Amino acid sequence: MRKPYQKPTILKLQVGFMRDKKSGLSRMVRREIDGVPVRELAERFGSPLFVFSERRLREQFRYLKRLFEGHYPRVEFSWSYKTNYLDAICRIFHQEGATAEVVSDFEYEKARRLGIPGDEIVFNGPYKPKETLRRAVLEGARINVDSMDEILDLEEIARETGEKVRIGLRVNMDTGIYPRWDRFGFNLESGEVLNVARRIAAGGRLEVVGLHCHQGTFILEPEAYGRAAEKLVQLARKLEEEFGWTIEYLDLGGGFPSRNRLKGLYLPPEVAVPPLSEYAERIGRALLSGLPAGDYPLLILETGRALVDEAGFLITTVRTVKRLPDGRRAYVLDAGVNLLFTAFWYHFRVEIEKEIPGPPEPCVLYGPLCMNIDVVEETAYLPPLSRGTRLILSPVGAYNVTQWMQFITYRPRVVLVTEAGKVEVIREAETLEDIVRRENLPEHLR
Amino acid sequence: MKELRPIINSVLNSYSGILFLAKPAAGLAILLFTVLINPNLGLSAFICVLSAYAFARALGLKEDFLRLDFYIYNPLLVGLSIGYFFKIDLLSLIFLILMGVFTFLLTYSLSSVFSYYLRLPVLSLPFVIGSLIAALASYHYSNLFVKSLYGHEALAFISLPLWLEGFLRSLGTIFFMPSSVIGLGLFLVLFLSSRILALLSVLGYLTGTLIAYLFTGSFEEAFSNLSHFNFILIAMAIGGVFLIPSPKSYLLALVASAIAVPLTEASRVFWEKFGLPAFALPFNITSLLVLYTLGLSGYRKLTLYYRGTPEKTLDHYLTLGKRFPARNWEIDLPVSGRWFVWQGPDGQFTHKGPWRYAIDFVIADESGRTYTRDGSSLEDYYAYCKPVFSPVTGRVIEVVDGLPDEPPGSANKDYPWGNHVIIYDPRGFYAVLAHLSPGTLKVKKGDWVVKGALIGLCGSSGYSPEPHLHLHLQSGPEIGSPTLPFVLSAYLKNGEFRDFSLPAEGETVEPAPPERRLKQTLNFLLGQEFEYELFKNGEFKERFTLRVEMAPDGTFYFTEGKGRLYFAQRGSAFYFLNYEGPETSPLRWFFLAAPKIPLNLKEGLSWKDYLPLEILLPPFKKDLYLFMLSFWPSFLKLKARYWALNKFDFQGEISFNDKKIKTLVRLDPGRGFEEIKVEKENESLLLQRGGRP
Repeated sequence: MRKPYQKPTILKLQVGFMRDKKSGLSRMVRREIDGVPVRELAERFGSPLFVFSERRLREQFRYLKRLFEGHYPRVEFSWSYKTNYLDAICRIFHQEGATAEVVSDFEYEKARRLGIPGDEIVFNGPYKPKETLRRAVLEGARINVDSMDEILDLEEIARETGEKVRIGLRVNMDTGIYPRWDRFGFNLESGEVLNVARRIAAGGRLEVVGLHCHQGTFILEPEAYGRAAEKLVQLARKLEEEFGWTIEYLDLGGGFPSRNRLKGLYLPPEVAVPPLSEYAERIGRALLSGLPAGDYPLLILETGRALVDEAGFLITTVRTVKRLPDGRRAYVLDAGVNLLFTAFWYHFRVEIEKEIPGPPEPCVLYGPLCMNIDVVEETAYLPPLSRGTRLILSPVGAYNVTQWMQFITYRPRVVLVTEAGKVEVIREAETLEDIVRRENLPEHLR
Repeated sequence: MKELRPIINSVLNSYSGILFLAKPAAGLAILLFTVLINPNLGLSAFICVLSAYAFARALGLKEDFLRLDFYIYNPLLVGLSIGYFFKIDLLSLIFLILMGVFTFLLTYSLSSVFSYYLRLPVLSLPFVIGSLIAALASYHYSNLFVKSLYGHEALAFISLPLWLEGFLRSLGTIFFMPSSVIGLGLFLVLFLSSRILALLSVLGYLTGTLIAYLFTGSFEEAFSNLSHFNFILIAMAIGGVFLIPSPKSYLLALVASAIAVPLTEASRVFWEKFGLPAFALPFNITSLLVLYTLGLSGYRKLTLYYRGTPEKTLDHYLTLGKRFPARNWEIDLPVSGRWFVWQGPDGQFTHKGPWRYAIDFVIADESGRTYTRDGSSLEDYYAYCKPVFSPVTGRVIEVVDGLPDEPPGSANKDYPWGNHVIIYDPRGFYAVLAHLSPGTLKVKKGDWVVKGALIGLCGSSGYSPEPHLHLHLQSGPEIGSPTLPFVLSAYLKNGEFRDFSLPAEGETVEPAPPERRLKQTLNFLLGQEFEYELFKNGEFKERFTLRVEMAPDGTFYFTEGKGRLYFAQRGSAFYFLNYEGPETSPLRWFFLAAPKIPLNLKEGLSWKDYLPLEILLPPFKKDLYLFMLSFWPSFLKLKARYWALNKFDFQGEISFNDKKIKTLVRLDPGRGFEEIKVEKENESLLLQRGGRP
């Protein structure tokens, strides 16, 4: 094979920075996603374009299930809706056996609309509107209470229905990590949880059947989960002994990391992010050694990011090439922080749809917004790209298609590459009509 | 009246008990026969029974003891034997009472000795001894003789073929009434209660008598020998009562009747020397010898629990054998998550010869691979360092640790078991978990572990080309002792709940740990009451209350006053074990719709079960089926399949030869059965929880 022509260049030699041009190049190339060429995807469905891989979603779910169930016999995965609540994505996880974890009226309704029965919904969140709360009680959802006021609301609902309401308590605690998320639920170390439990028992209308603890997000310390599980088990025993409740589930929340590169983290994710098997092992060990053999409460995990992030890609196109005053190259893409909310804390993997000759050089990737903050990547090393070149950013499966905004421009299509290799649109691109439909022009302004 | 009922039943059962039936109605028929046809005989027997019963009650024995009818059928027989010779008057009355009490004491003591030392029933041995003593004693009781002896008139004679008359008269002789009319009546009672016993009585008699005919050469004499009733009793006892009815038990019954021929003749000659009748000694000797020998040789189809007729016993054992195969020890799955059976019993690699009952577990992914990446390091294997739990409750008697995990592809031939743990289960065997990872063992020698306790982590030490868990049960404490067959108490196989069985090689298994709330929902406590309403085809039929009560052996049951539906939570499921009671009781629908409920119901979970025929069929049809089944055990095609709709509701479909029954059960979280629906071809039943505000 003939080698592609490369413009002759002179590179400053840096010790420990020797690059094999060839291998560096091929590492940056992604021609296809699950067998479907990137070019074809972009030409058929437009750019920018979110692409999800059904195969990766299912494989990752099964992998995690196998992993955690191997360490503890009763595990339930509750799909965190806020991570990605596109119907198709949720349905795939529900088919694999996940229940739904929702944190608002909207998410609750969305899960019910997808056919998830109430008793397969975990209802979290610091604010649960009373009406939705009442519905959740009647439909038997697992409600994890966040505050004293919510307890009062629930007691009132229990008075109306005449039946005891079964609730979970959200607990926050010191597991040795920073920052501590202590604004959610009741604090363990200060004794708040026990005070609240006493109040609940005295009220006589509620019954605590679960404990919930969500320590944070993208937690890189597996031992933190071990400590959380240990403390929850101790708390559960105390509550069972003191109040006669049966704790049916322990919910350790989510926060498991994906293979994404956090900003401020020097090492690549393969090195910095502990494998998920370590998390499973710590949790399993803490639970098994703290619980009586054979009588296991259900372990609920609300993994979001760890399940979906690596199954999502964004295809975007270089629309303009610029040279900045400091000499760096800059590219304007058709996708910016309007679509990539996670760009604020991740360095994405940037791949090119084809091999492009030339040495990688530092460059900046800007989004299309007329805003200074719209930077997708401050420093990427890419060979000189020409206008129209397509880039693939990943992982982008988590949070982006929920936290994206309609700002300045439209939101693009989302497609799913099915296990059979077909490409299905799972969300259509926005049109002007979508955006203005909700608007109303008062009579005097017409 | 209500308090009298058990007493009456118990007395009546002693009558039917002589023919191996536990049916008060049959007993009443026999009582009436004896009293109406020969009032002297009948009343004597009755007095003897009552005196024994009254004495037993005076001693403080409970009804449950007296339900075991042999305690009083022996006094009954003694009463018959006395009544056969003496009229009732004051003198014979005293004699009857004395002998009744004596025979009861004899029965009570002998049965305890027999069951403790020989594990044998006492049969009618006390009767044989008691009636001999009565006969011997009366030799010198001149007063009794003068006042009470009476002669027997032959009852109206109907002309019958000799063999038939011989059979019927022998049958009558069991009750000291050697007449063909009585014999006919007794045969009808037998036939209506149990076709199997009726058949056995005829076959046993004919076998024994024909052989006697061969020896004596006289047809006449063979068929008029009344002591041939022994053959009838032997055939019934061996063929249908003490062995579970099957072609083999029938054959044994005939053999036993045949070998009793010389014994019968010999004992007749012996006792005749003393001028005494032979009674049932040959029956007792032959049956006890056969049973003792079978018991010693480990015959597997001995009846441990006789249900009142051979048909019911067969039904019980067929169901029991299919639902809870008791032959092998049951243990828990020692792992968590979904594992793959790499090598099963009689496996292709190492599970051979004395080590054939063993399982090797690994974890495989969807594509069947046991590792991720290239599988070159131990960490790539899914099974590596996964927790291993104790499959039994017992004491750790051996722990070997410190052997290294072998890298993939290699194996330690010097220490093939690697790091292992041996646990002694007090049921009498040893469980072995092998190839554990060094330094991960959580138990030490002498520890007491319970089922499910963490033992260590799966590793690759010893003869282990890749990380896996080896499990077997063995008979001795040394590693490498011969292995024993076993079953897993419960597991999931691709969403199907299975219990008391073993997965095959190449299948996946997953533990089925119970869900706490469902476990509570089906945890019925003593004294709890539940009110239900029964609707038939949409029409209200009755309202009844279920109560939870406990049997003397500690099993709990539901009762609505008449029937008893036994239940238990065993490991990962709730079971209805057994039903006793009338054919009309609504309790049967509970059994039909929910013979077992896995305690981890969720949509998609399914399971199979087997149902006793008495739950499914009207009595006569059921007995007919069972009669056929005793000859051809595979005659019946019964399938009962159930599947969960959600965490508390499930459906079932029972197909039975070509019939179908559909069921639906709704549980009320925390409160038990809420609703049960049964839909048959032309009938729909609905049981609904009522009586709640």
